[in-house]
Amino acid sequence: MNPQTPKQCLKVQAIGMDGRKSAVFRMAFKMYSKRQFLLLEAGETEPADLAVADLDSPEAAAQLEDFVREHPGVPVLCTSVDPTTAQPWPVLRKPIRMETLFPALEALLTQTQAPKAPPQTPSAATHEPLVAAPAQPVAPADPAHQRPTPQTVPSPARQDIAANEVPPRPAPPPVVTLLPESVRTFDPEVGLLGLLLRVRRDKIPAAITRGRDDLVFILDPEADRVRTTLGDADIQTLCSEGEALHLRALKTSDGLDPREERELTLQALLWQVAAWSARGRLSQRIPLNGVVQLRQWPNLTRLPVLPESLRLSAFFARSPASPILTVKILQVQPSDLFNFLAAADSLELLRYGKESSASASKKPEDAGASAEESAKATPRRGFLGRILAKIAGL
Amino acid sequence: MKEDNKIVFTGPVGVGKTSAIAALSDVPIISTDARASDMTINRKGHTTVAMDYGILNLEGGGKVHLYGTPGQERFDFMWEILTTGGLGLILMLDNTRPNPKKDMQFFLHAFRDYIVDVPVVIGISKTDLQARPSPRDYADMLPEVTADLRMLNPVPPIFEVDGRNKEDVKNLVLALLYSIDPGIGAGR
Repeated sequence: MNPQTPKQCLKVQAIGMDGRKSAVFRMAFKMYSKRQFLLLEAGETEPADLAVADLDSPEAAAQLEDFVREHPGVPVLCTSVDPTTAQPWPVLRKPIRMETLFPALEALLTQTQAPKAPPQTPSAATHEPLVAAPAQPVAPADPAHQRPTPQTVPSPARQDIAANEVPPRPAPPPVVTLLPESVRTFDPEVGLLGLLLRVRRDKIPAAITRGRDDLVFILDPEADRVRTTLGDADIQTLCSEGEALHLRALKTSDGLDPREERELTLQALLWQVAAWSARGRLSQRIPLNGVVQLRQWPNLTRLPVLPESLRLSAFFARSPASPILTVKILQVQPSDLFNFLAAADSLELLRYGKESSASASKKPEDAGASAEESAKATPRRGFLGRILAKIAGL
Repeated sequence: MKEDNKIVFTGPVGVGKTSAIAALSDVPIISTDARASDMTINRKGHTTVAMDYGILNLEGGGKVHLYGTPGQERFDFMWEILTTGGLGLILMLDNTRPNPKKDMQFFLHAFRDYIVDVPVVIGISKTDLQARPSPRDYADMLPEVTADLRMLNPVPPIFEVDGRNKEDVKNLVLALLYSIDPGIGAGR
């Protein structure tokens, strides 16, 4: 049985490096997946395929000279804070980064490097980090590994056919607009939401009853705790205006059926009840043309999911904006925006108008400008979109 | 645009960086022997220190490299090689440590040059064991901690997370992506 040939392992000799620097290179080599580099141990006699020398260490010059004499033809990559140091070898400017180290090593492997006896005038190449590796994979100059270049340019006849077969572009999504006359509003201070907001403000344990006697919530705002026997569907029903709910101080005799009782955080309840109370309407606290901004992100991993909440949090954390501008720029559904704003406001996360803050460094018009800049960066947005799709699909 | 990119995970030892990267990576993560107690010379004669590496392969080509920095503070010299370019920094903090505020200050300052250009997202772990500081507490601390820093996103996402919970880790990364550009995937 012939074992599969493992990925070629290139042995690298460290010159002028202490334990810490060697550890950094070992870590970097482990993180590099295109090729296997292995840093040789001190005292190891195995022949090196290349060397990396830290020119800034006192012993580097002598060690490098010895290495070159004993291993002629082995390429060397030097590193230094001063890449203009006269060297026959390419010099990588410190601090070393993953993004420059490996292209430099790959470039070194493609070159036929022979040591030159007299130090030369530094070439332009030593003033700059080495350029990135070529797009095609690096391969040794071995005829056995070369393949004929495939025919990539189609014949003229095939080009005509290809031109006629261009698939139609998909229709762009409909533009979302927000017509002021279509916006409905709601009062967050009434109904279940209004009662919960009062409890949060007053910071006193309380009970909410349906009618006079039907205990539905026991609340401890200081502990951020709520106990209830209601399921989500029942709570959503309570959010409809017209339900007769009453708020009173908690009595020692108050209790819920332990078999049906469940516990939530007050924050999570407020967040959800605000969105259910909004039902796609704009809170009367928020002017349609007034600017709002997030003073903090909501703790979205521990709150009920609302559509577009991540996107809207990122947008409003970045700069203040009005609901009208937000719909225009982000193309979110107004109902999702209004539900999010109601939920964020219920947790006192919104900052209104021109309130000054060290973090509110951007002006409302910056939101439009920055969004336009983002829209222009189409290749980057495409790449980010692919990552988004990947993460969302995990 | 170069279509390989990276996300750096950092934070103290044991906070959940390895679990978080493992939750995302398409390949088994590469970790050194997690001898987290010391940067010791092992019997092979070289140093070992815990660090992690994973890859997200994107449809149509391109990769996102996931780097988990060694968490011990005295290994901060090893972080520099990772901190250029990339999409952003995910800082995970452990609520059961004696001084999480100090940890937040340390790591944000350690990456001060990096977070000028890329956004940071903060994940608070082990809140089931120690509820305070809450994410709101951390947000309140942030202006004082970052008074001498320039951050691309001075109001970063701060979420409770469990590094073993894939949904939590996904939300950290999604928040990072939207912090770069809230418009990605818009209008679908």
